[in-house]
Amino acid sequence: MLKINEITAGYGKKNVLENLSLTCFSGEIHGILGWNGAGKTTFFNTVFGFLPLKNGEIQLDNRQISKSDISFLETEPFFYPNLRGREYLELLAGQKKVDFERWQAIFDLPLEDLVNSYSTGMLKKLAIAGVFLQNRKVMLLDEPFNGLDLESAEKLSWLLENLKKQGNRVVLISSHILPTLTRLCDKISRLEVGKIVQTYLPEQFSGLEIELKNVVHQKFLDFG
Amino acid sequence: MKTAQLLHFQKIRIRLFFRNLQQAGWGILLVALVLCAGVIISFLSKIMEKPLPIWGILLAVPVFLWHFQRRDGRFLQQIGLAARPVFWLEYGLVSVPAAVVLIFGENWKGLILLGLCIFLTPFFPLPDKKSDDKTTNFSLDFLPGWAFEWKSGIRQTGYGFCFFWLLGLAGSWWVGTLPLFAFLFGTMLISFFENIENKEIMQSQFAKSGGFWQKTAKNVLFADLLFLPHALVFLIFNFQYWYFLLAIFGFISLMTAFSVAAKYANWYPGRRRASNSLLSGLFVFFTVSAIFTPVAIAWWVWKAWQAQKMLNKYF
Repeated sequence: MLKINEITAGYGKKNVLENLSLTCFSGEIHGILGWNGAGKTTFFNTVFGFLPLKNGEIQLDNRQISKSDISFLETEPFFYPNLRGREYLELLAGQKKVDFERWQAIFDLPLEDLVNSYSTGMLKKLAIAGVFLQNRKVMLLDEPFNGLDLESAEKLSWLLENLKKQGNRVVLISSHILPTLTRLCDKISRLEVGKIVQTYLPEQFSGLEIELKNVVHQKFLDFG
Repeated sequence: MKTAQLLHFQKIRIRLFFRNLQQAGWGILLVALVLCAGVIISFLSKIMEKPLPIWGILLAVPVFLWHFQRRDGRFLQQIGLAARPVFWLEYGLVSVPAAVVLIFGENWKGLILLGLCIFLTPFFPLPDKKSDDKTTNFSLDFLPGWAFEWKSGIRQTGYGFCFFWLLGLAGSWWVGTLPLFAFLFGTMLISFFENIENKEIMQSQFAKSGGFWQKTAKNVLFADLLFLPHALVFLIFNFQYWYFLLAIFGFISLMTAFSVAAKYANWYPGRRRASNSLLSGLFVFFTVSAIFTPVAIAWWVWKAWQAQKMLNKYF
């Protein structure tokens, strides 16, 4: 179980997250939904440990979480230049053997080409392969579907569903795309101005959609 | 040509320049400034001694080098600035000190030549970025995975690195080749360690304690091994100068260790590149001037401490 308890974090003196709390159970895919600038990426960076906690704590199975528990897919992953896709995956795997054929088959990646020649979507797929290869207890996926074509997005959904079936991972996904989240997630939390304002269960997902539409409508009215 | 836009652009360039200086650290810059002043004064006294017109061309060499290294032609085009006036202004500004020296030396012919060089340089086309890319995808599977900086660096230079290595080997029978080769190799190393790997690769290297020192040791050993064939050829033909090798291996080892440390010393999450050429250039200067070698060692120790502190904080 991942327990995020009253965390406060930010950049310099500015707090982006304020007393944020969230609990996720093993085998759960938890969606984080928020407008641009709501603090989703800051939240992931904080859980990963790239931003120091000013307050609060993050626990995994009743102990303090460490980086070796987490794999984190960033919105715009980057790679060391002039390395082949295969070499990148080998570096991540360390001593473990990598089933290159599997990843080649899933994502159709040219693993013998240099990463410099990869398109944005291919880089994203390589990063996703890396995150799955790390096989950590907690997966933070920041906008994982951005830049993926329809087929690759379906394959990622399939990978995540398989992961859910294993029942021993906590997956946190951020996205703006509500239908993707409602299809995959067991819970969706709405992040607004650095706080979780509400967590929705599957039976509340349709209500969430209406609620968001109303918010957008209201914002348009306010805009004039 | 909009003058206001041109001036505004130069203001941004100057701001970026000072930001780069700030990144290098004021302490280091002060030392560099004192050392450079020494070199410049001795150079100036030579210019004053013999006011030959050729000095005008020699003083314009940095401008030529800068021009043929530039990659901002397309950017200037995008923001709607005519490139030539920008180049004339920039080259003119950086040549003011050289012009002052020539005026004081009453080297009028040299001054005219300098002016001519600055006027003509912008007419040469900038190098094409794409045709300049020598990156090759040759298999380097025989190198271990942890040597990824070497793989990337070697591929970046295309066949240049292999040619350079073989040339050094072929020339190692002569006593002067090896020190020169070591010097060029040491400076090349800097660029190999300027790119920064992503957090996943960093995690795989530094999650275990002592990861930084292991990485340093492995890379130093690797650099020394690359040099071993040259050293053997050198020994066969110049055994009487065996002690040269101590200095050369010391230089290569220190350069490698410094390059690794400098890469992580100023790292922060998300950083993709550490431009260490200014720092490393200064480090090369300290290392090769025997009197300053202890300063170079102390500097490396300091950078390594900084790097380890940074890595401990995040990994």
